[in-house]
Amino acid sequence: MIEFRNVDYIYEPETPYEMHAVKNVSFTIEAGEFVALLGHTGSGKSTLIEHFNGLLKPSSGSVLFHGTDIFSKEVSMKEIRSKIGIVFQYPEHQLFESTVLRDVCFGPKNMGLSEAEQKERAKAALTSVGLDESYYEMSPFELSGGEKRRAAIAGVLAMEPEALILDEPSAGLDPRGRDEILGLIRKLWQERGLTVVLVSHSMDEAARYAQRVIVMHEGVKKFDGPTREVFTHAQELTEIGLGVPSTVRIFSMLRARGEAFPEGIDELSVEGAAQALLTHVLHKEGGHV
Amino acid sequence: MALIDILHLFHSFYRYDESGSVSGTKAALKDVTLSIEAGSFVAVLGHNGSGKSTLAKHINALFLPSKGDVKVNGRNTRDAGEVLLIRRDAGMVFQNPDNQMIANVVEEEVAFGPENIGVPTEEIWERVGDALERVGMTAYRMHSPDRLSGGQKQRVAIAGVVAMKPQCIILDEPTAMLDPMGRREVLRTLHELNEKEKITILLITHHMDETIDADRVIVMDDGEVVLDDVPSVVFSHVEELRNRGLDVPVATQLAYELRQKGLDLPEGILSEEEFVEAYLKLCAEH
Repeated sequence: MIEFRNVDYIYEPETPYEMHAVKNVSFTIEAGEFVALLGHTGSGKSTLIEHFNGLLKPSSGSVLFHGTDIFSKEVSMKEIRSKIGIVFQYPEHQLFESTVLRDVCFGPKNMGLSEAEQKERAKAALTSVGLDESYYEMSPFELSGGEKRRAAIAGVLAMEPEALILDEPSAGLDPRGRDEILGLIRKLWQERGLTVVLVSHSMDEAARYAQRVIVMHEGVKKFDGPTREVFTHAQELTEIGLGVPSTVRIFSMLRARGEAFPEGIDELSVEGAAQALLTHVLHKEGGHV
Repeated sequence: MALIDILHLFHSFYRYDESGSVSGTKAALKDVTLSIEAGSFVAVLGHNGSGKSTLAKHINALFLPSKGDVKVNGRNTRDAGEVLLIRRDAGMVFQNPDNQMIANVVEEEVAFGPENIGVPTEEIWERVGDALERVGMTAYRMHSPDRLSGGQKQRVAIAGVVAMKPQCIILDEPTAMLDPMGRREVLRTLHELNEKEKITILLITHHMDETIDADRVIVMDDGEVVLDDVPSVVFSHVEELRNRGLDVPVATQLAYELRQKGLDLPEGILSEEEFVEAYLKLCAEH
């Protein structure tokens, strides 16, 4: 559905501030995938996401949506931006209208829909993020941090996008708020078949939610594959300052101390890890009897 | 005597209607009594709305008690004449580094605090150099703060407080907006200040992994202190912490799950290393 072909991006080329932020990055994201885009600050991941809907134009290379270059003449950028919704970091800072409902209407309004359609879409979007009628007439500033963020996501959903790109949607939230937001994103993915790209620097988040992981480092795509497979590169991931989920680290420490575990165990979740560790001990017990 | 004494502290927020009269109150702190020893590293853990930030603002006299008393070095925050001295002794660092930066050059940023409390000019520059060294930011002395990373900005903000020679630094979620690297930088700086300079640290956070190396962890919920002990004891309350919307370290959670399944792992495991050692011991016994 979305394809990056040899994308390069250079900030302020041919000036003393020239910075090569993205270097020859290629990947394809299929409809309905849940992808985590990982990397620490300065890895190029934020520059990369601004390419998803044409906010930045590649210095070279191209970005394709359903096979067509998004910068070609026959493509309407307005349409691309409603099909590929980006939720930026701290999206609640972008709430500006006098009521929650009007704020969520802003996207559909820009798409040129009638007032009735705007409201219909806004209400549906608010329902899907768990904000009921009682929120419609509230000022966005009366909401709690987690609610504001959900309202901001509704603003993007109201455009009925095919893909949702979220830049660190859990930043600054407490554990409860984080679980709520990520649970909501998973629900949207499962129930609506939305394509999700989750930008994060939390390995645990990626392990819990994503099917596939793309790792960026110094502007280059370093790893790209199924979540479980990418996290087997524990040493390299640690070297580039990202690390691996805690449970994966425990298994690699145990292996280094001579304990052998079968292939295919679930190292990514606490429940799976506990099960594998239990089986391992009980197996030893059985062996001795 | 303890450095900070909090006695039966209550704090209420008032809601006003359109005519300006009080239409409701919300009790943010309910009868909190605590004392913090000089030189300790104390973490305060709680979800949003638990009252932890309100508590922090009382220690710096940014808030005054609705009822009860807060004393820093024996000085009561209710005593208006003592407020400047309290703020000198107990410095505060906030969540968003961008909201705290006011100068164009790092050294001026750090000088702002000591200048405000009337330190003589020459001594200010001495203190600035010293403070930047303690947070590992000497190389950035002449840089512009807005070109720094989040972690570096927070270290500059910490240096600004250190330059006032405080006895205590209170940090209100200083890492909430930082990436893992920035978070580690800030944590390392805080532990160094605590160990080498004996500065008392009060770290307010909802990241439980930042609290496992603290001397003491205080858990707040709904305006009250619900747990207060060394980290290994606090984190042995796995169920309770989860019910209160908090995380426990993954190693602790894993040990808990295995204990539930009947394995004989000890309580109080916090780190991955501790877990691995305990698990291997168990394997050897079988």
